[in-house]
Amino acid sequence: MRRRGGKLKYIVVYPLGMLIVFFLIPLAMLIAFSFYYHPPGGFYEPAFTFENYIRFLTKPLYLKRLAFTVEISALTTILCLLLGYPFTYYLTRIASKKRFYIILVISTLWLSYIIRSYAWTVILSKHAGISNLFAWMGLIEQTRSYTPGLLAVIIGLVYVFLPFMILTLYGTLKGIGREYEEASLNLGAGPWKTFVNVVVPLSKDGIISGSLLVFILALGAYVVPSILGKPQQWTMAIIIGDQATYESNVPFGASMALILMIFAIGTIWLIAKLAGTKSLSMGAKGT
Amino acid sequence: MGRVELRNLSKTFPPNIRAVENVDLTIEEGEFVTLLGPSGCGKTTTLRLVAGFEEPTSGQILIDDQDVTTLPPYRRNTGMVFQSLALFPHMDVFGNIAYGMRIRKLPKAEIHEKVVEFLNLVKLSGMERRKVRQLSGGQQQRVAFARALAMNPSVFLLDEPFAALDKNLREEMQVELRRLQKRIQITTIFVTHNQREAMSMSDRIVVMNQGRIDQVGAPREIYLHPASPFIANFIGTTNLIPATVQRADQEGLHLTTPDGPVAFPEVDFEVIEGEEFLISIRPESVRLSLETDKSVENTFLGTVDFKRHVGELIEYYIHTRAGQEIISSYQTGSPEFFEGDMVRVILNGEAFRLLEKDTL
Repeated sequence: MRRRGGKLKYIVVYPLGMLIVFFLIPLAMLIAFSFYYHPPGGFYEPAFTFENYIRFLTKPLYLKRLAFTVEISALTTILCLLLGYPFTYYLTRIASKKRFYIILVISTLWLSYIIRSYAWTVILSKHAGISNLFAWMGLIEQTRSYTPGLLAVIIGLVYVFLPFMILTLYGTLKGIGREYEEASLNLGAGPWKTFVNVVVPLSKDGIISGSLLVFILALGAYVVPSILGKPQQWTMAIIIGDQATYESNVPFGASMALILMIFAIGTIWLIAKLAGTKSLSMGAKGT
Repeated sequence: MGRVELRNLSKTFPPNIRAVENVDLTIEEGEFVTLLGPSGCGKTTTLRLVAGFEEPTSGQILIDDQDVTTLPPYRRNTGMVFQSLALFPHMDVFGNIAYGMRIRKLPKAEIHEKVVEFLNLVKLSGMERRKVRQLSGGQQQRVAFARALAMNPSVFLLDEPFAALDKNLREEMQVELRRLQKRIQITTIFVTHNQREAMSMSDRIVVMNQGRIDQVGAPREIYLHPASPFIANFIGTTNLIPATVQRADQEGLHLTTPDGPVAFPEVDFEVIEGEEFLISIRPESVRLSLETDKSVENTFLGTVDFKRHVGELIEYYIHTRAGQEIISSYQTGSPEFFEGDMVRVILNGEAFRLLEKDTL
């Protein structure tokens, strides 16, 4: 027994090692770098200075980027929920080839973000894009380009993150037994009242998990806004990348990355607090 | 209030599964009717048709002489208890029972009064604020009853609500449900595959098989006069003995069986010579005797092959000379027989039922 217990200990080495090598060490480095000093024209020097943080918090330029990132992430989350929920509900209740549709949803994830974003630049362009269709239908007078711009960024973000919302909601909605809805109908509630009073509350966990997932993914969005957006639509991730690669200011980039991370963690904490901690289990929990 | 009429009701599921076929049934006010049958016999589909969860392929459903065939479930005013109970887990006991009344926007005071009244009726007073998950199985059953009844439905529908309960609790709930039903005199349709449950609770039993109604009658009537070998076997235990008509005269009907001739005291229907039947006789109408020497009418010879105690009964499995198996049951405490005993099997001619062979 003792020998087996002794050997068992080594099994933990693998996940623990992974955690240390790929998560804890980089995080520690990030934290350390965020306090380093960036000499003008140079790279970085070990130091302990709050300069990077002060720079971020005192320059409206950067605070604006953070606000924009949070706003567009929230908007993406709401749109994904509004589009994804009815679709997923339909999928779990009515559609016959459920698996086929789910594979269709997942298949969009097989292509890289970059390819999909460029695809949208074509769809939203002036000459080959959807505006030709609108103009032909008489909805607009002249063809126009929607990209780069805010609308293009929102469309791109929703398109890219919608599958995550759908997949998260799918497990929850599928787990809600049909008989709950039937019980509600039997008690005199019509389809809409049943949906609002029974289906939505029972899928609360999935709504929270899916929304958090999309929100956090959107906070870190880099590819979509850089391809489909103008500099006004650049998100924190682009600014951070810019600082680290083009400005060679790794300490400032690190401090911004940490601030974004704190923001993400803060959001999770707040929502968990509001919704009750058990809701944080990501994904499928039926009742 | 609460008369239900099913007229020539049929339901076919795609591709071509005939779940319910030409069901005609009238359930009177305040009656407790059980739909009984093996799984897949159409009993649950029939119930769901009444509730409005399924649309019939053809036929009509009338509740209180009003045609509800095309009405959605939320306009039918039926109260249903589901097999899984389907109590709303995000609401407490009060919320569950009040649900329908809140949807109907009844005044708060009235809702409160009603919930208290129905909790009292199902003996759960003071449990308003309990979470559904904190309740025992029996308590959850009662909440489901109260929720279904709080809206004063015309019909009370129950879909195997006791299937998941252990035997003692099930019997307790059966008594409770029947008492409750008698107290408020509500028309009730109860679905079960458990024949004992059906026998002990119902005013009338509707035996269903392969989507059709095989027989409708009071429990005792069905037990004593099963309409087919299927029902005879499904309701309780029975012996089925193949028999051929030899002759019919004033003395009765004379039949030959593999173990010798038997006589039937009276027949109320025409038979022809050579016609084949199955004799159904319940184990309690089969007596045993150790006197095996002298020949008596309506008796077979055999050996006690196997003996077992079933509750308050002892069952003897007799292997007859012709190789048939006949079951005989005695109350515990009567003179006992033992495995290996040579016995005379005495069939009580009064308790015979002749069943047409081809209905099996």
